[in-house]
Amino acid sequence: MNAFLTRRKNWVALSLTLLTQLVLLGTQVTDRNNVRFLRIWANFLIIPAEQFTSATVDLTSDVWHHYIALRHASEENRQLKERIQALSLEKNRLDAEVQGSQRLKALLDLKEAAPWASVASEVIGSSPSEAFKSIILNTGANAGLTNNLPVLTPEGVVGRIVRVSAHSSWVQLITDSESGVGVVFEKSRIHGVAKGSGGSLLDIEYVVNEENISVGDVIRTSGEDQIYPKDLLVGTVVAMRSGSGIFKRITAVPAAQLSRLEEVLVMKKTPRRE
Amino acid sequence: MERHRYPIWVISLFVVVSVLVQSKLPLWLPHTSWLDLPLIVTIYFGLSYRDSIRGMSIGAVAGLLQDALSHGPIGINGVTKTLVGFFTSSVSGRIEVDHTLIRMTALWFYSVVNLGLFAVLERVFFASRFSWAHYHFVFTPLLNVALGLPLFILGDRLRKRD
Repeated sequence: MNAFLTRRKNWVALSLTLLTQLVLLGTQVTDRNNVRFLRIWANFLIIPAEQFTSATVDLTSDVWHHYIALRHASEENRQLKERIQALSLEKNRLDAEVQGSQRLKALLDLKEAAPWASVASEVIGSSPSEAFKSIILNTGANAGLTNNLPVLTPEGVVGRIVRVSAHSSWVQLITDSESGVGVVFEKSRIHGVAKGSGGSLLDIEYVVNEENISVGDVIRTSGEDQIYPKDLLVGTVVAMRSGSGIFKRITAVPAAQLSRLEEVLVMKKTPRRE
Repeated sequence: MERHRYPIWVISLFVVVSVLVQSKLPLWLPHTSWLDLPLIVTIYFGLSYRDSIRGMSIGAVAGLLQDALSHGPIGINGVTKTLVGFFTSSVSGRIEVDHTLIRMTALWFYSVVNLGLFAVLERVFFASRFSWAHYHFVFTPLLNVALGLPLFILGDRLRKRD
């Protein structure tokens, strides 16, 4: 550096002298906008540097903030997913509550409309054996339940109690193969017996071939079995054909949603106390 | 090539007097404003000293003094005469400049250069606010040559004798 300065001392001296005088000029002379040239030169020199610095800082800041934002976005995404899951669960819970409320309201309506006293029960289980169609209720002898009490939902007949413990009871569904319900066709008033098919349907027996039965006919309890009160909804005819013997082969679908039971009403067959 | 030396008072006297005369002479002789006595002094010492820094320094001082006495910004003549002093002394270090014809040529050439530099600076700083006449580029160098040659002779008489 020193060697360069020594070798080029004339030019260095010239540059310094000129620079000094130009600065001196710049402090005195102004442009048309009355801005001193020194300020213009200073701006000319400093502004690109400032712009470069600003752009660098902005770029760095931008990159940094985007990086942070991405990190935050990832975290936010995770939180939002958790929030969505929580909200979905909450919605499902609320939907279930609404549905439960609707079911309970319907059950309450049924309870108030029924001539007999009744006990509302919650379904707490079902038969672990496919061969037996039954459910377990959370009420039992302590609630005054006994065997052969009919179990209903607002949609229709569910079954009857076949076993009772102190705090629970077992209900044989009308679709159980050992179940039989005295029924009457609503329109034709023809009597029959609704027997469980062991599946999800009912076989209506003891209806002679000559009777005029149609698909879609509604079936209600006849009360003849001494278990189910009269005129409770049992199901609807979905298939029918003449049998090889004297009776028709009629298939009906239960009115109650037996596969989705949650609350039921157990009728106690005693007059309701107002 | 011979390098001439001058007493400091001679240099100072020439510079100061040239500036003062340049500021007073146009009051009596209006057309003498086209002359540039400080420039003649700068060229003379630049040619004589053959030292860039000395030539540059003399030019700078002469120009700054000229500016100081003018109503314009200080530095515009300083810059032009700094450059003239620098390049005059730089060239004089390579060629023999004591010959009259060379001196005349140098006076004319650097007068034009000085006017050119001044015009550039004027354009840069003042955006051509000043009115410029092209004949300045004709008459000023010629006047400088005409007055410069006698002054050069006077200066030669004041050189230091070794």
